[in-house]
Parts: sequence; structure tokens; C-alpha cells
Amino acid sequence: MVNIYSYISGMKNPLKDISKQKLTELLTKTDIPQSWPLDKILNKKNSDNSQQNKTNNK
Amino acid sequence: MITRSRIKQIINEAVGVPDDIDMMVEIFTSMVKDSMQKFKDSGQDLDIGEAEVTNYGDTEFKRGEIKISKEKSWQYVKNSPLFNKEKWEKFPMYKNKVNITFDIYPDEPLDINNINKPTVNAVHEFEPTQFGLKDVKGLGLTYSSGNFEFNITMGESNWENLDTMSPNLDATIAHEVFHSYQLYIKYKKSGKVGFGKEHMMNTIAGALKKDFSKEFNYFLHILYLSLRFEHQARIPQALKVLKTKKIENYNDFIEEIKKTDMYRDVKMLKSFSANKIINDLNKIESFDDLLRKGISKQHIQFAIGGWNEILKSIRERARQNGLTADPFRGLSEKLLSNPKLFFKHWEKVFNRRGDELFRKLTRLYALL
Repeated sequence: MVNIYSYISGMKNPLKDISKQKLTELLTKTDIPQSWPLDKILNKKNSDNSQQNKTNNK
Repeated sequence: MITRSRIKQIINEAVGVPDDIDMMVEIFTSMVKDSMQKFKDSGQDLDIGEAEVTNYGDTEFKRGEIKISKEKSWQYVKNSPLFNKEKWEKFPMYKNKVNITFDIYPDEPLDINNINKPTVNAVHEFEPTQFGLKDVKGLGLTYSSGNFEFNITMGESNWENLDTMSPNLDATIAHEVFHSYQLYIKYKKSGKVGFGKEHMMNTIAGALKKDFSKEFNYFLHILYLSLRFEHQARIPQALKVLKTKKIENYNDFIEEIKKTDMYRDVKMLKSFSANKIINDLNKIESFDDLLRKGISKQHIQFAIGGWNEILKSIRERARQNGLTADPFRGLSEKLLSNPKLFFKHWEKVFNRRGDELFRKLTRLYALL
């Protein structure tokens, strides 16, 4: 649940909170969004910190 | 006299699986597998992450990342034993950057949730300013088609034997290479860049998704599934999977189709219901619903009310980015002023497109 309150001010223009870069990205990408429903099942935690832990792959 | 291979080619094209993409699909599949094998053999470190898994609980997963530059990918393509210059000239993909990330989970949490092993999330990305055909000395006409990203969720068993990534990996690569091929054919025939009118729909489906609006996100996902250029890419994708199955008659074929991701897409299209989405939005069953659904309804109100205007903005942005964006007819004011009518309109479109996708899938029987 993020950005609800900051979003309200821009609500009348649903594209307002989308950066030009993000929109350009959406225009130039085609994808298979299989994260539906994968993200709901595999709820990753601390993904920003994940690089701090490493393991040898062998 | 028409040769047997020409007959095969004609049938393939009629069904929607052009021979032209086959070689590049095979080469890119082996490029991804070989790169992962090399990573594995080198003993490189993997990052460790944690995830909370439905029906299972907490688990660790390992993550690796591989980046293949444009130059390296081209070297791989042209040196591949599968490379054939004559075939390549029919679809001369040239210098594609490839990024691969892979998350390795214990098998059990994936198996419990019936998650395909591996599940491959993929992206084809192109840069309109660099897109197009270019004469390269010694090669002739080349096609600069953009980059590929593959995000792979796999089990330990896949990591132990990377060959088990087939046919799912091959199928996803077929899907993305086909998108590149669609752009190539369109550009070659008409000089146009992009997927046309549906390109704007694909963009709006991504642009209006919000974390707090899962009901509308679901609608936007089905909107994406309804796009015909996406249907077309699902045909070679499905064929890659079906070709690995033991199919002796039409009943076997239908049973195997029902197990594919593409059939799940058909079901989602056919079961979309305007009444359900409206009921779901009005149902308050938890504190989270109370907090979320009010704002979600407002978002939907503005998204529907501004539908035509939003598409116009996207079209303008598309033009500024070098894409061909032809004018389109928007939805009527009547539909945009009433969410129920808006969703009813899309319900009809989605249900019809579900039938269309299923019909296209069943034509694959001719190729098995």
C-alpha cells in the first residue's frame, strides 16, 4: 500500500504521476507479465538488501 | 511443382508460425542455456534473498544475473552451429543485448503452488530511434530489433539440469522473437514503427496499473491479453510446448492445450465479468479494503472518464518517441460516463477475443 495520499492530488490525470521515462519504457516494451499471479505467491522480502548475502553456486 | 518443405512453410504461415523465426529462436534459447551453464561452471557467487511463499512459509532463494552485450550476442549468433546465412537473411536480427536474471527456489514451494518450473518472464524492448534496417559491409541488410530480458523463476532441479528449462524457455523466447518479427514485417511492408493502434492499448494497460487498485489491475491485465498482436505471439509460444507432448489424436491435443498458459489466458478472457468487477469493488471485507477501495474507485472513475484523453496523451508521447501512431476512434461518451457500461463493453470484447485465441490455438493441430 504505497503512494495513496501523494497520488490523490494528481488523480484527475491518471498519467500525471508517471514519469516521461516510465511512459517511454512502456511504449517500447512488450512483455509476458507472468508475474500475474507469481508475485502474489512468491512475496520477496528485503530484495534491496539481497545483494549483501552471497553464496557460491557450487 | 511445390516441394514438401514449401507446403510445410505455407501451412506454418497460415497457422501463424512463420519458419523465418525458427533459427533465431533456437539460437537464442541455446545462448541463454549456455550462458547459465557457464555461470554455473565458473562457480560465481549467487545473491541470497528471502521470500514468503503462499501455502509454504518463508524460504530462501538464490539469484544470479548475466548481461550479454550486443557485440557478444552477435558473435554467439554468427558462430552458432545452428546459424545459416540464407535463413538469417529472411529475418536478419542483428546485435541484440540480452539480460538474464534467475531466481532459484527449493522445488517444494514452487510445486505446492503449481508454479511452472521454470516460469520465464520476458521482455522485448526496442529503441525507436535506432530501430530499422541497415546495410552492414559483408553482411548485407541487417535489422536492429532491440534487446531481450529474461527473468527466470526456477527450482533447484532446473538448476541441477539446465536442459529441464525446455520447453518453457524455448516457448517464451519464441514469443519475444515473434514480437521482434512482427515489428520487422510491419516496418518492411509499410515503413511503420510499432504495433499500431494496439500499441496504445498495450501502453495504457501498463500505465494505469496502481498498487492499490487490484480490481482495475485485473481488468488492465485482461485488456493486455485481448490484444491481437499478443495472441499472434502466443501461437509459436504454444507450439513449442505442444511439440514436446505425446499427441496421437485431436482429443490428446485438446487435453494438452488445456494445460498450457495460453489456455489459462483464454479462460481469463472468457470469464471476465463486468458485474463481478463492480461487485468486487463494492465489497468491503477487511480494513485493507476500507482503506484501498475508496481510492481505487476514484482512480477508476478518472481513468474511465479520461480514457480517450489518456490514449491521446499516450499517442502524442509515442509520436515524440519516433513510433508511428495513427489516429484512432475513441470510446463513446455514453460508455465513458458509466463504469458499468464501460466494463460491459470490454466484457463483450474480451469474451469474443477469448474465442478467437482458442480458435487460433486449435489450428496448431495441423502442425503436430
